[in-house]
Amino acid sequence: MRRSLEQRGLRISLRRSVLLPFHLFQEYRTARKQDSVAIRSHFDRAYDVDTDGAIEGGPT
Amino acid sequence: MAGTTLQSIRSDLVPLFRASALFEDLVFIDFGSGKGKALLLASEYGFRRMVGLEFSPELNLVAQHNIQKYRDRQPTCGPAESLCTDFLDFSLPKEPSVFFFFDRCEDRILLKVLRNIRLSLAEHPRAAYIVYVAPTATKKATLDAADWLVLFVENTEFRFAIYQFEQAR
Repeated sequence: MRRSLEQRGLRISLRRSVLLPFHLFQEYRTARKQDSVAIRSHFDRAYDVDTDGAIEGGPT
Repeated sequence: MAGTTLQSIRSDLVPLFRASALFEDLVFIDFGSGKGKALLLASEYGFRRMVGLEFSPELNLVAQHNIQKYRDRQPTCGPAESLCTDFLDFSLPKEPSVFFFFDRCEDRILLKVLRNIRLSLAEHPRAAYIVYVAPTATKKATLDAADWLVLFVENTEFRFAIYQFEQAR
């Protein structure tokens, strides 16, 4: 905090501290998204293929 | 509209193929085969051969790679191939066939594909089935309205419908 005050000044340091939770949440969401992509279906793991993906479509 | 993940279609398709012993020795043609999952699953169910039609070169490449890898693991699976082509440019085989759809093709494209299938069947009458997985209401209505097709099986649990070419009965 002290270093931030020295380097950025009071106004920018305050703004950054207010925005910190928002940035952390953004990072968390990005990490979650990457995790979900990395999950391979049982079928793909069993046969070492890459068929996973999502398409639109729904019940009649 | 609810999304359907390809991860989930294995459980949807297995009952379909198991329920369809009559498909044995027919040619399986997948319109919009993507990465080839349906081809891989179908290869275990006695089809004479499987052909996937995919418009995207990237997806077609992945499908070809998948077929090769799957064959390495399952050497007894039937012959399958993935072709990068437009649905409408593909020349339909003259053999008894299953035309498989699990795709979001536009309604007007579906109409043209159905017209091609109808013309081919009129020219070379043979056993033929149309399988549509998770059809939208519009596509279901289009298929229901085709007077040359008869609704053969409809499974609301797994969301597929099988239509039979009227002369095949």
